[in-house]
Amino acid sequence: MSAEDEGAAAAGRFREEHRLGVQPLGDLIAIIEQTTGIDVAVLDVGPDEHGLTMRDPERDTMFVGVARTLYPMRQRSTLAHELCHIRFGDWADADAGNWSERSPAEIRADAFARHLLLPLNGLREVLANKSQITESTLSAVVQRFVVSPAMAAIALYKAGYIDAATKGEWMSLSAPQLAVRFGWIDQYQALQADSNKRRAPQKLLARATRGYVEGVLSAQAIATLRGITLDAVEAELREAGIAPVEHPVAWADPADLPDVPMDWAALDTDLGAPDEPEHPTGGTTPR
Amino acid sequence: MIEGGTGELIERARVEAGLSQRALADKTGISQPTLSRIISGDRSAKMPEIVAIAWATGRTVAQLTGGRAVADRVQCAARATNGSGMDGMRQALLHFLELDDYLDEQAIPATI
Repeated sequence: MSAEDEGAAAAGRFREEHRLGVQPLGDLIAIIEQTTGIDVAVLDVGPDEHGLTMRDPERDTMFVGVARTLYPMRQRSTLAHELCHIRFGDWADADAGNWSERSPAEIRADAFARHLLLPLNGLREVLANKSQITESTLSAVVQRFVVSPAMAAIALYKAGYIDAATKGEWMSLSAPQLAVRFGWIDQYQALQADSNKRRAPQKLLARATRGYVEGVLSAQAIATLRGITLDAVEAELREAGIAPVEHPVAWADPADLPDVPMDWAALDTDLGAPDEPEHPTGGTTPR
Repeated sequence: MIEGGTGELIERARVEAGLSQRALADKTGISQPTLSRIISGDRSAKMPEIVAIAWATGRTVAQLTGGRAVADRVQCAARATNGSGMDGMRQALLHFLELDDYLDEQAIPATI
């Protein structure tokens, strides 16, 4: 089985297992968090860092990170791509190096992403009564499934709606171009605003907040996690009525302490110490 | 006394917490010249100083002392272009895993 077929089959299985039908998928971050239980974070990082999943094999905990970006379709395909790596357990050591390499696992993850976001039978369902496939159709597919024009063009080609030349031509179009031409630029901008926002890993943040309440983490730890200032975090915590719990120390009055009899002589005997000070100056034996 | 590497880790924690060296000095009660020498590696940090810096930067003591057991064992799956080494994301996710590990050690339960 080729990497492409393997990715496509896995995407179909994923949709089946989670009863996702052939409909467009909404918030992918929520889908990943809910189906895998793994925290997803949207991070502020360099332009060539798209997505990363990191796993601690000893505790079997994982985090998925994707870049904050003005390209919402790309962020979605990256998320779907990472989901494939998690499903197949495509792990490499952290210092393995060339992350841009086109390995079979990468090709499989790209195919998985394409078939997960835009299943061919979902596409056929939408286009059932279409007699003519135009750029307007492409725009509708891009808008409906929230995928890049390139991804939509490949799917249209694979489903037999367009020829290779049209696919090539449409793959060079951009989502904002289509959005402007076909009147859904407002929606596109809303998607952009969403994909360009940092997002802290939800479960970890909740747990860190609990740690703050218990006094084992500072508010700065929460600020760093969220990428906002300490002042802003302190204001938020205050408004939410969240404060570290006081662990009162119970002090006792020395007078209330029980009188413990101590027999130093017995100790001296046990240690075989002499009874009299050895120093001619008459100092006492240190105890 | 903690040797080597700590200065670098403290510097990274300081930058990620968005604190100037002066602000970190104020928050920890360590004088700025001393802090500067710790960061440059001219002077080792004493444990109480590390504890204060960890608290002020929102890190754990283990993260600042190089006792990063988690970093040595993590595995990754990435998507990058142009030969990116994914440094930003690796650091961020490593921080999440270390924080999670620390909260485990402190017996802080997951709340959701």
